[in-house]
Amino acid sequence: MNQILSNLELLKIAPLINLELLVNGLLVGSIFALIAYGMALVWGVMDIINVAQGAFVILGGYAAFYFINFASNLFPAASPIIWVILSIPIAAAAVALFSYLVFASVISRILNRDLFVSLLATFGIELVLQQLMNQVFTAEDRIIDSGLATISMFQYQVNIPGSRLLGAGLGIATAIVIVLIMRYSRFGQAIRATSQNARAAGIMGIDTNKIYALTFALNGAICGVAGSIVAFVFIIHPFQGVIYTLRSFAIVILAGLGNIAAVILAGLGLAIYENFAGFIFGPQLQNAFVFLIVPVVLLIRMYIMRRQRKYLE
Amino acid sequence: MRTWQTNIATLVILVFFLVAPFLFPNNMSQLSDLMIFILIALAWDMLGGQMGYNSFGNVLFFGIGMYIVASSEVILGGFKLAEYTSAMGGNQGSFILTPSQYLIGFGVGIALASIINFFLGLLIGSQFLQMRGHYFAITTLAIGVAAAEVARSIPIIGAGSGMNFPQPPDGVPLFHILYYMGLALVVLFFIFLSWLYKTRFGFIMNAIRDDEDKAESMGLPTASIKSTAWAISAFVFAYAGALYGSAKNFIDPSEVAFPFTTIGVWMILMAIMGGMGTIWGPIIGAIVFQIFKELFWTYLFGWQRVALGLLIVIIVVFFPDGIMGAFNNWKKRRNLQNTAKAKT
Amino acid sequence: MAEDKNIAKDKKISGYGSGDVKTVMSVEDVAKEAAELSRNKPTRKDLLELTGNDEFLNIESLTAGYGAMDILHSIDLVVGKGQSICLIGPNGAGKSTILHSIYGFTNIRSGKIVADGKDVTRLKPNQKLSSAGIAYILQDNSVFPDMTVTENLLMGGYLMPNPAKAKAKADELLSRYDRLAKRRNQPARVLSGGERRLLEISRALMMEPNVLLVDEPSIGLEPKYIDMVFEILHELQHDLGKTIIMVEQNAKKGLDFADFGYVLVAGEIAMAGKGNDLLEDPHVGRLFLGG
Repeated sequence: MNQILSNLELLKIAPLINLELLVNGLLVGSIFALIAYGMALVWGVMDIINVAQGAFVILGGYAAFYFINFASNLFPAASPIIWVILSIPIAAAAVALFSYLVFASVISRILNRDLFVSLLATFGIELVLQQLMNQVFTAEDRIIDSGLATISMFQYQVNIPGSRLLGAGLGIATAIVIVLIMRYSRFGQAIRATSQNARAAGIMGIDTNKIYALTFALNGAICGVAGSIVAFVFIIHPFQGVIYTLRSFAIVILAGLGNIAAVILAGLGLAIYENFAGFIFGPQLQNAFVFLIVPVVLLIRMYIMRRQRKYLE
Repeated sequence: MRTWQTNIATLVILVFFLVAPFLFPNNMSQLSDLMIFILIALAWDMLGGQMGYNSFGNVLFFGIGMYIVASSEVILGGFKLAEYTSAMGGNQGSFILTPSQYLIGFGVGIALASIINFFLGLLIGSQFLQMRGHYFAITTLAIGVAAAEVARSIPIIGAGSGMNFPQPPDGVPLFHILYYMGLALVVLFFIFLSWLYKTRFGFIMNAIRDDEDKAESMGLPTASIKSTAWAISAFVFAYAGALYGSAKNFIDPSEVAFPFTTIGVWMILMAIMGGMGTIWGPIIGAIVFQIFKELFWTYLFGWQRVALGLLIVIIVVFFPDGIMGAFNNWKKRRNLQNTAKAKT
Repeated sequence: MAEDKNIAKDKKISGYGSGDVKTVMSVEDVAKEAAELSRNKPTRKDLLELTGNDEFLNIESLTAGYGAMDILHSIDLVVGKGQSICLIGPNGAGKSTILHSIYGFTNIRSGKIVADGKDVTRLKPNQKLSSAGIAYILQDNSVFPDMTVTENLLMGGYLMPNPAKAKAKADELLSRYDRLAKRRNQPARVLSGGERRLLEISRALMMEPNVLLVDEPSIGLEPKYIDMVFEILHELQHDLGKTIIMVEQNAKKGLDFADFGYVLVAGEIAMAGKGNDLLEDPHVGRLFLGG
């Protein structure tokens, strides 16, 4: 209790800590929001919750890691930042292809089944993927050095790692591209139509099965991008995907489906909340705060709906 | 429905389970795990299969039950819980229980765990069971995850480094006790469920599964039935958790107490594998699952999760009706053929 | 069963049929009546005679179904340009399956479908819509709720290669239906039932089809809108020369609207005739009109 009070006191004495927590929350949150948006996309369009989302992210991280290793051995003179940037489309393509295979072999068979079935099936995929990566890539922590320094302001009171800044920038750029695709391209139009009324979309001449496959692959590409960002902002480890799955899950629940603005806000909000909770209550409670907020928010939403005689369904 | 064949089969299985420890004395830990699995599969299916409320969060009661038993053993052994957990890093030697202390602590603990969780189940169930469908499943999943994280931050139960059970004193045949206590509740719970599913209570549970709005508009007491069913399953989960923790002799918050990625999924898998919504399904599912799991862990170690993951995918994608479902389909087909033959 | 209750007791055909409790039939009775109907199935020649030898859309001994199960067994169907037919029949007779087969949603085992002299049997729905001039109007609530009325229309022209042309076509349709034009920028979920049906119909016109497959146009509509929908369909047929194949559960309304009626029983054509003749047939009356 005293610890908590003194942490609060510290925030009051040194207001710049607030700024640091806020900025770091925003940066990290934009990466989480990107991953969550992919999950919301798949969930909204085809009613599949992809529990393997985190494993896809990690897979993207490995793709980026091995590409960068390979390329920088080939051209040792080039600056690492070039490879970091180039690794993003490579990882996106690799995971998109992998996702497509997962769709063709498993997801396409459970499309019209209960959401619950998709939770279990993709959980199975997550298990397979985790241990496969562990066997193939070993359990060693992998990290990509982006070569960017930490930016310090206000006499080292506010420190922002350059890699985080780059990661957030790339994440935001990806999100913008996806929003534009969804809004203006024929592909995006078809995805929106399919998610709103699949039967009617079929009547309009849209091949809905193809749209489902492409949506799942697009989510794979998003995970690939996120994975290569994670690889130089955080670390890559075969069993670490769960963190990203659970975070995305929390974000999507808080935001609801089908609204990208809400997903981004929830992603940023959750990360900021988490950073402050971690600072005030201690890092060991940070995760507890993240996951407790999900049932709490759902309960509140349920009470509101109950008063309107509706159900949270 | 029950014919003399099923009665005899039940009796044979019961006798087999009674003598199993003598047949496989080297596999006591697998056998006691099996009893625990049967219990949680039956208790999960009561909600998921019979009532249509697919929950991922029953591990909440599983873990709380475990912590209660461990604490009860420590406290009734005459020690302070805080001292015990803070010392458990290295020095276990000074916390020695006599056999009677150990058994009393265990017995009192398991009774307390079951009863406390029953009421906790009523309390939580009355709120969360107002949600429907996906949101219920998702919320319970979040509760399971959150429980592990909360437990991780409570120092008196060992926080993130977990909590040891007091060492079972020499001369206490722990696994035999756990196995027969598990078997005892399996038998009682099986008899109870066979009766329950034939009562009005059971029919209302099925009505809730099939169409809750209609059930409610008919004036059936859906809310209280749901909470009661949830509380009964919480009772069984706490009991099973107490046995499981004692068998492992160590509580890790997310690996043993609130293992939402292992037990939390296995319980569902076992029910699906055997056949959801049947009384024999979860039992058969638990037995088959335990055999698969042990085979994977013994012969495929290093790849065991790959094998398990593939098994999960194959079962939910291709065999959603489980073994009992396949059996019933086969019986139906045979009956059709028989009647067709009788006609010609 | 009331033997000779006059089916035309209600000459003015309104939204609802005139069945009462006495008209409820058991499954066995339906099967018996249906078998009675199928006794003199129409031949191909009969069908061609009916349309005046015009075979703009022509189905020849079509066997089709979903998955491995056949629902339609050797169906023949002929309709001339600018004509309309209505398919009636008991539940599960395969009425909608015919529309699905024409549009390409089923597995076609044998037989063929010819539209405007072109074999379209194996075309996929998108090809039917873009190159065979066939459009499908789906029953009940098929608008895209979160898209505006204009966007919904544009979705109808999803297969058009030129977006500007699609825009022009949408504007043309909006200018025809004032009620939609007023709501052009509102999301479709706020439309009334009648407006939705209007949007569904106009959306199907985006690709300028010759043949309209209309699935249960009156289902889920308030009675006052039902007449409106049939008026619009009438206009499409007689003013714009569209060919219409319709499935309608309100047999009176459907037969009154269509030039010809086909009675479907257990996946086969049991009877075919002019809409008005069928309305007066006693068997048809007992089975479908609540006579």
